[in-house]
Amino acid sequence: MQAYQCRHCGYESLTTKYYCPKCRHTEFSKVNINETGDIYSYTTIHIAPPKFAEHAPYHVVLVQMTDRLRVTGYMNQDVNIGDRVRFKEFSEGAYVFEKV
Amino acid sequence: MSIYVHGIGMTKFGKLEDKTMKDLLLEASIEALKDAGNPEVDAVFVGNFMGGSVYNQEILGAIVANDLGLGYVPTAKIEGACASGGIAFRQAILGILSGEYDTVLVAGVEKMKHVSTIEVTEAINAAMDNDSNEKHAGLTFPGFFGVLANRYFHETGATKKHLAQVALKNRENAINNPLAQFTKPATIEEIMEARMITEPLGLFDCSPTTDGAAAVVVSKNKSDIEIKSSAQASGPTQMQNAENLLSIPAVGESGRLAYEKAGLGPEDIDVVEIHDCFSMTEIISSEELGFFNRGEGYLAVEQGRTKPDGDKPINTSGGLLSKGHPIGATGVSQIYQITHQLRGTAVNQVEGAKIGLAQNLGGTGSYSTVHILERV
Repeated sequence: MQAYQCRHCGYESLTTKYYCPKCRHTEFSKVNINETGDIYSYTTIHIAPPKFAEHAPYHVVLVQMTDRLRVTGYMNQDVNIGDRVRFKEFSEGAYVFEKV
Repeated sequence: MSIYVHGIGMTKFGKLEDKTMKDLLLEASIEALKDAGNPEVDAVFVGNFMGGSVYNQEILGAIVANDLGLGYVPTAKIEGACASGGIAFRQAILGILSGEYDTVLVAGVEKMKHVSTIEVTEAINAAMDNDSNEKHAGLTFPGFFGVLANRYFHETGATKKHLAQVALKNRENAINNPLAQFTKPATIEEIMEARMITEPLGLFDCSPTTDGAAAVVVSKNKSDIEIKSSAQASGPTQMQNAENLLSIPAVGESGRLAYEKAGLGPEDIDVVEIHDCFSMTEIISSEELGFFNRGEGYLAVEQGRTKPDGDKPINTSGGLLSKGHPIGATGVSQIYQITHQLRGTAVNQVEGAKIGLAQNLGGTGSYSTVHILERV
């Protein structure tokens, strides 16, 4: 899994940015990050947007990937805070996770 | 320079099939102008979010100026998602502070009940960053506050019952408000057992879709309600970019600025309207605004401190949860309620209320405005 790190302050982001939101530096380096993380929090969505209606109920998870990076993802397995999860695939613009 | 509230108006909130958006906008504006003694108006600002996307109606400012015979005055529609009304109110204040205007009419309006939930959800999602992976993961606005709530429960002793206590309090307040959308009593059991929207948030934890409008006349001429300060801040537009998930920095920063400009602190505020788009949001923002310590807002709710007879009454109008949430009108309707409180004419009147605060939120923390008003 790839992320971007600000060359000046180390801020990490999933996408490259025009300006670092922490220090306004403009140069980012590509970094490879470990594909496992811990569930920082989650919700189970019952009332979904049209595109997701057929998948409901499903989980939207916030995964702590590194000390500086959390990623919002999609899961269809039950989870709790602190559970270890792994990045499974990037599908239709979403990071999909599964339990380890 | 000091700026004052001269007149207020508000329509019934709810499903108003017989009224067009223009009807609502004009009805609230006429009431506010009459209340102000029909002064000459130098400009009009209208807060509105989805008039274009679900009602195919723009040029709201010009419509108000024309239909009310205000002359060739400058007007504009202000969009800031759910903070559109608060930002419109602030633009009026800034316009007067600049010296360009003496008296300004601010209105807020939304018409949402004529379209399906699916269409409304799509339109509301315009307040998310399209280029982000979050929308594609199926995240929704209630979803964001569901994720926040689960973490809040994890880090504090709060439970779903505390969220229900917020919803119950606001419902009990709305019962006394004839303009509110929901005036039917509810029980804590009914609230806790209601169908889930996005766990742990159930139906009563989420604000509804609503038709309605509100309006305020502000002026540099003196009245007995002074606007002590106006502040606004922006914050992260994505959940994964929140440094502290249990904080909404735009709320904290707009509050800090508003207190600083007014020379006041949270301890000076007698009555509060907080943007409770979700029950969880009221608790977090009550902490952000300094009324309670971080992680302890839920205890204040449990102890009844935020009820009309508590030491920090929050959402005496019924809040977004039960008064209703016609998006562009919400921020203006908060000023309506605070003004009534300071005049001593409010529903759920807080005895002797002298200083009031209104906080209006847009997106998941993208925008926040805070206004502090004082009876003088």
